[in-house]
Amino acid sequence: MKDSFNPSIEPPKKTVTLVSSDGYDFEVEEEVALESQVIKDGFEDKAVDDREYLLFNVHSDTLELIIKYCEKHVSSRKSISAAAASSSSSNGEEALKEWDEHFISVDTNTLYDILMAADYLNIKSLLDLAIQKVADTIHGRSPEQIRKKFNIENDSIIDPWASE
Amino acid sequence: MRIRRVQHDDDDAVEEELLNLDDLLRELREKSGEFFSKLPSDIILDNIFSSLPLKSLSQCRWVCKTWYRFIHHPRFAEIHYQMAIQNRCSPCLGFFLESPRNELRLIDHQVFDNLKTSVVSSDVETYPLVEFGFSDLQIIGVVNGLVCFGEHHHRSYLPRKYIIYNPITGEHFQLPEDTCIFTDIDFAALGFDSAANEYKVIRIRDDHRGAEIFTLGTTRWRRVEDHVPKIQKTHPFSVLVNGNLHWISSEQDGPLSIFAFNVASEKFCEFESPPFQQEQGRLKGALRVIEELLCFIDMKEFDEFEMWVMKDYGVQGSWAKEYKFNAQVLNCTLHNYMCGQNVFKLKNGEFLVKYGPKDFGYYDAKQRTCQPVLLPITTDDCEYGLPHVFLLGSLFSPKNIGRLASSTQTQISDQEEEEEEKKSLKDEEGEEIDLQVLQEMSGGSYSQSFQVIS
Repeated sequence: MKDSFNPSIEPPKKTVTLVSSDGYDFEVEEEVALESQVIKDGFEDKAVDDREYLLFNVHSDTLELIIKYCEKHVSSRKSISAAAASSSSSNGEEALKEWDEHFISVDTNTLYDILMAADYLNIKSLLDLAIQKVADTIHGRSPEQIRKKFNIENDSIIDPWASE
Repeated sequence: MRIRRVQHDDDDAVEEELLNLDDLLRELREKSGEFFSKLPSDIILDNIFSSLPLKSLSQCRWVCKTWYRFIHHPRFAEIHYQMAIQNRCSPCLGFFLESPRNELRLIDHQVFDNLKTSVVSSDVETYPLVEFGFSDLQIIGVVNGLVCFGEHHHRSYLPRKYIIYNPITGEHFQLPEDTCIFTDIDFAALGFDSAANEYKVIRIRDDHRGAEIFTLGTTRWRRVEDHVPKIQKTHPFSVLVNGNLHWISSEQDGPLSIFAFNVASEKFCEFESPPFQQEQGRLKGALRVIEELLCFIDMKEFDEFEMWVMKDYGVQGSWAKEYKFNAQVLNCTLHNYMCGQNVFKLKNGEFLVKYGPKDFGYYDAKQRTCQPVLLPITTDDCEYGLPHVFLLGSLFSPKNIGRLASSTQTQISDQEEEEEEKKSLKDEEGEEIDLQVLQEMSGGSYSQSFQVIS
């Protein structure tokens, strides 16, 4: 709310550098990096010019996605609270949900990478989203579809209720 | 180590040694493709499998043998059930439709919570019912998602068959009949002792003449010598609250009273009744559990009833009159004998009232209005009125119950066990004689009653 009150006097955005496991640097805005609880936890103790994080467990491909997710969430939150302050109707939350759904519609390998990175960086909303996606992949599917999706061997267990 | 609890069933898969859940989880990761092999165990258990709905898990059992064993593991069933309670999952309204349909239909509570029209058509999950091999089923009790069925005590010739059934997984377990003696049974109930994790079925003879108890996981029915209070025949259904089974008892022309049976100690005791005015010839009532509290439904008139709630369980003077229902409000004919037993409080604070064989009303306690609810059930589906239960489903296996209890049993120290062995030897001897006598006795009383009929 403070930010949207008078954006012109806002100080220049502070940035943080995130380094992926394969050695790429990503410069992101501080508030975007702070979406990660792990970064947030030790943040205040770190000197301002030493705000660089080596993320040994996150590959650059995944980190790019994670940053995209965090940026979207930070900006959406701002526009939602701005809309609430001016009491104008907004479907921001609805739109964000849709965006999330689209974002997480990835192949199982990428889903795994996102899930593990979200767990490692402790980004709760993203971890929940990824886990929900895994649960959705299982929910409402036949045993055969689940086996196919996760590449599980069929050891000829028989469902006595199956109509086929 | 002596094994006292023997599991008697024909399923070889269940006979194998129960693995530790962690070991099973490791096996699941190894055998379920790359994705699961890389995921940490705690995420698989706590976040993915524990949060899957029962219907999915029921399907997932047939993915592979490891998934089957994992989902059937008693420890997992426990975790999943506790999670459902923690997340305040709504219980379902379940209807057992007997042959030719032979299925269970579950309607989620939330359907009623957000009821916009009075027609419930969607959100009904259907499960196939197992063919039990006997007809005239009676619902004896529901505990932890397990339903106990029995042969109808008054409609069957020799009611001795009891089945513990998990409608979600389709598993069932039939209690042995050979040590089950009495045939003049008035009433039976399913109880659960959470401290010992023991399930017990109790069947009570008419006219105070004793009771038989079967602890799941053991092999034989035991007889109880204690004085058994008389059951009110019009409402032979018990409710389980705080480890006690409760039912209404009434002596001839005596006041209406509530009795409790402590499942752990197997003792009967009298329980405080609500302080209502008792008139002669109007001893009608029924017990219910609403929001984990013991409730008494007092049939005031043919078309009116009041509901008493025991606010603090077991505390004297904590009965309070909470709700009043009448036919004007319900705007429908009340079938007195049915409605009192069939009031359910919904999550949103309103009520579902059953007022006919398949007729339910949605009752708004604040506005005092009621509208009929049309359920996806036809008159053909129910002959004698519909057997229905409120059920928070679980994955507990009726076949594994005794095994879980036996793992608790192994914790008994050696000394205790020796003592117990001596004692149980005596029991066995004593019981053999007892059995014979009782068999004769029971046969005698049976032929007597047969003579009366003829």
